[in-house]
Amino acid sequence: MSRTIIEVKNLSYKYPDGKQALKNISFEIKEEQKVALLGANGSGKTTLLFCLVGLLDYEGTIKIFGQDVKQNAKEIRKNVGFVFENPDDQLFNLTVFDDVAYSLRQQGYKEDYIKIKVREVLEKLEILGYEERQPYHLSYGEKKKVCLATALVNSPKILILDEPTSNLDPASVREFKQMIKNIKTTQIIATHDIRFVKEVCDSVIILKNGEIFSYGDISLLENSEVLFSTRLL
Amino acid sequence: MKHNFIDKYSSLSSLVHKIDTKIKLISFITIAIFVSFFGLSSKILVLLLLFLIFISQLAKIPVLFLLSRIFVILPFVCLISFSYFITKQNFLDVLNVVLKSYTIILSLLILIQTTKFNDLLTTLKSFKFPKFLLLILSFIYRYFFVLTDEVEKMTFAVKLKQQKKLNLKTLTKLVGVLLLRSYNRAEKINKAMILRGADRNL
Repeated sequence: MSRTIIEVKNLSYKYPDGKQALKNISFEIKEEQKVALLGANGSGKTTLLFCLVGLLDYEGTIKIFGQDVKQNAKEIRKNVGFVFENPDDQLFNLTVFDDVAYSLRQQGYKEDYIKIKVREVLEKLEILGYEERQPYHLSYGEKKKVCLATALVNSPKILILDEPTSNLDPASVREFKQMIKNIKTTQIIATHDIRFVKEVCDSVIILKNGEIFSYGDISLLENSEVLFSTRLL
Repeated sequence: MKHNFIDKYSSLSSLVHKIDTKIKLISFITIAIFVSFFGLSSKILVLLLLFLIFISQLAKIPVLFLLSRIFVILPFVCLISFSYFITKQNFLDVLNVVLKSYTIILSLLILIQTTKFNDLLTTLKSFKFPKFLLLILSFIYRYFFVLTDEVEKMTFAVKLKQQKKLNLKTLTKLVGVLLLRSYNRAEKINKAMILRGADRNL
């Protein structure tokens, strides 16, 4: 781990109805760091993730690779893979191939190159042969893998995962966990799954009511008082 | 829950399924234009209908399925026929309109049930069909199943809470909630598209 690639300073965000969702959030994430974003329901985890990729109009500063997100969101997103909590929100094409190929097509790559890249990522995630299947007809675990494939096909430098293990059966959680462990990029994982975090991440940001309650290395999770007071235990 | 309402029989294997999608699409368009704009007699329309029924059987599409789909448009056909009857008051003309409607619908059903939806969209794209409309069609197909699931879940939830039959008031609330959920989902899909590089030109 060396240089800082995500820098957040005094980030605040209000929902359109005026409710404060995030208050004065500041943190830094270094290259190849795997950070867990923990917090109870409604603590602002997903909102923070959406701010990081410039999808919401926030106050404060977010810099990724030294570039301001507000000014360079489009360019920054090319190097960020995002996996949504609900696969049906992310898989909007009619076949798995079209979904995985979508971002490459948007960037104007040639079909031959796209075929190679899609094949490569599907093979890596053990879903080769799913190309012509319809996302709707896949199981939840398979959909999650396709979502991960759509994020990885660009070889992103940052991978953001929103509740990656929610609604998965224990076997799928194990499989997913192994896959994520094998991916060597900077990762930000929003989750409630403490066991998952202990095995995958090296640092933790705990949110409470839109503010950072605690921020540090994984040993923070040994403190049961912190977990109780943030409704994580 | 699994649904295959739209192209239930598109994955069957038959002579009709194997015909190139472009040929099937051109055939459908030709039939639709001829039937709509040329004054074909009822006898010819009956022959054309019989031919289409023969094709549908060659494609192994069950007759009952075709009938059930055809009945969906019955109210509209009745309405048009009725208005036609009032103005012309000629039974043969009304019959002609009914036959025309069913010929077009049957040929459309054969096209959809013997072609995978994705192939159909790809062919439409190669025919320079507007991108925006193709995107809408693909979204309707993709999210039709998701919405059907949501409606089923909501109906189950209401049935569990309510002993009486569904009334209009409850149905109105269900439609309202469904609209809100659809809006919410549309926003998230939009975010997913932006994150993966979609531009305003689609």
